[in-house]
Amino acid sequence: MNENIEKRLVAIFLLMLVILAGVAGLALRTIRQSRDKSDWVNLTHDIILGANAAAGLLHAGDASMNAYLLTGDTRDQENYRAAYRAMVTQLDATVGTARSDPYRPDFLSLTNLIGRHINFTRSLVQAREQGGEAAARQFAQTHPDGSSTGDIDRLTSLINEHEESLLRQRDHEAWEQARNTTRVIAAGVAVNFALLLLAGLLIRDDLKSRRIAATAMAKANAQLEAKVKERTAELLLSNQSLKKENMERRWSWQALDHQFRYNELIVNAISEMIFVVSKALNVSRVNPAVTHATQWEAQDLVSQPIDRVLQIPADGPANPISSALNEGRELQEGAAVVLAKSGAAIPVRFNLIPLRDGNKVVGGVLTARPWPGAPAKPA
Amino acid sequence: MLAVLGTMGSTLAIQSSTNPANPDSWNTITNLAMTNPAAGAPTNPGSPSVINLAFVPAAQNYQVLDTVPPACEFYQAVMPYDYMVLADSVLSGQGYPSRLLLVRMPGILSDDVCYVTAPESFICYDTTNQAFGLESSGPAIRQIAITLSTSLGQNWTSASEFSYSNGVTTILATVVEADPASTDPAAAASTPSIQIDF
Repeated sequence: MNENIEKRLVAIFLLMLVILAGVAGLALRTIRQSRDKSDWVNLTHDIILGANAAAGLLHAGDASMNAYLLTGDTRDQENYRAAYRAMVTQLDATVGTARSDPYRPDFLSLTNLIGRHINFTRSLVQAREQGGEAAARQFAQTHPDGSSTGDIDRLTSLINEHEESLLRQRDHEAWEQARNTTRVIAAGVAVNFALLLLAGLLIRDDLKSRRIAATAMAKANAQLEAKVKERTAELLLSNQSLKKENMERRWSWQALDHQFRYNELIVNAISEMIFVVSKALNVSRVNPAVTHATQWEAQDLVSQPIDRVLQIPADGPANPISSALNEGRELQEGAAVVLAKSGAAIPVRFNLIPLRDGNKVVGGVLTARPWPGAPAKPA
Repeated sequence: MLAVLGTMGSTLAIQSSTNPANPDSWNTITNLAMTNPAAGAPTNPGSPSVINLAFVPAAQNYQVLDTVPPACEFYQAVMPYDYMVLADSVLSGQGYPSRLLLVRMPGILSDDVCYVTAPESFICYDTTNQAFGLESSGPAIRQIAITLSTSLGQNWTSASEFSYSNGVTTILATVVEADPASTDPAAAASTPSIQIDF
């Protein structure tokens, strides 16, 4: 989910970057073109000014020249020379400046017309210098078209019109370009703004989903914590119960142990010999009276067959103890001989009580007491 | 006796008038070549430069001989060209090859400079400080125009190399800013399209 949003945001910002670069590139190109156009407009104004300045200087020169024709004053002569020379300089500079102008032929025509006019003026001055004012007047009368600058003025006006039409055309192009650039930049800014808005919405959604997830996680944590507390309480109760049970068991075991000790003490205190035998007639336990009477230690007898220490006179093929245990019955006052460690035979009367585990006979308790009336027999 | 102050190498038109309020009343009585350096005139401090070489203060006396002197007469000394033309003339005479250039900028009809080949710099007049300055530039007309217009913080439209001799200005080559630099013409010996010889 987060990775998906990250990819979308990266894509949006890349798109914004591309649009921004495009808009910046377009703006730079427009500025460059605008500067070029500005240079061209300045140049066109220069050309117009140059042409008009040349025409103006020509008229100034003509005025001084006419004054000279009338007065012959050298100051007027200097003035028309200065004006004409400045006019020629201005004209040459303007023609050079208009080298790439679409109406360049107009400037060449202007140069020719002015050249013709200057030639006429030269002839007029020469006539003045050779024949005086009258000669100059006569020369002017015989060449009525020569002194007129109407064609030069008309051509200058035409040049102005042509150059101004170029200015209008370039200005219109600049206006259209500025309008288009404004539209593209506005569109780019709008798209970027929309993309920014979209990115903001995505980020807001992401934050919202994160907040929801965090809330759910907090809720789950709270539930888990409650369960843990519940379980802990249960465990505490259970533990207390177990402790109590354990204590009761310990007390029970202690009671049993005491009982066992009492029983053992009772058994040990009995003066009769007691043999605990298994169903297979092996000795599993004896009391101290046996050791006292026979000198056998308990470990000498335990796991040994009972007939090692207790022998029953054979009345038949079957051992009466084994038969009684198999049948689950008691034997009372049976005659037998206990064999002491020294080999002496001690006549005894014995009783047998079967030991039961449930209904099953697993062994028996055999008690024997010396019976002095019976003759002792060696083993 | 007139004490005339000027610049070495220049030729001043000494004019007189009895009515200075009338601009047309001035008569040129002589053209005075300034050849005497002014003694004790302050010079520009610092290391020698082409500006110091081009503009050396001069002082000259001229005696006016009036057959019928008027009651009151006024005199003026007029240099019929500007200081760049003078610098070109003076520096060329001192072994510093130089060229004259005219740079047109919007709002400025023309601003001429004197380019000196040896230090690859041009002398120009800074109207802000009202002092002559020296700017380093390449030799091409376009380079000089760009350097000058940049130093003035303006655009330029066209520039011409010209020569000046005996009061006649001849355009040798014109470079247009809007044209590609590859089409710039090289200055060549030329004469005005129309001769004013009368």
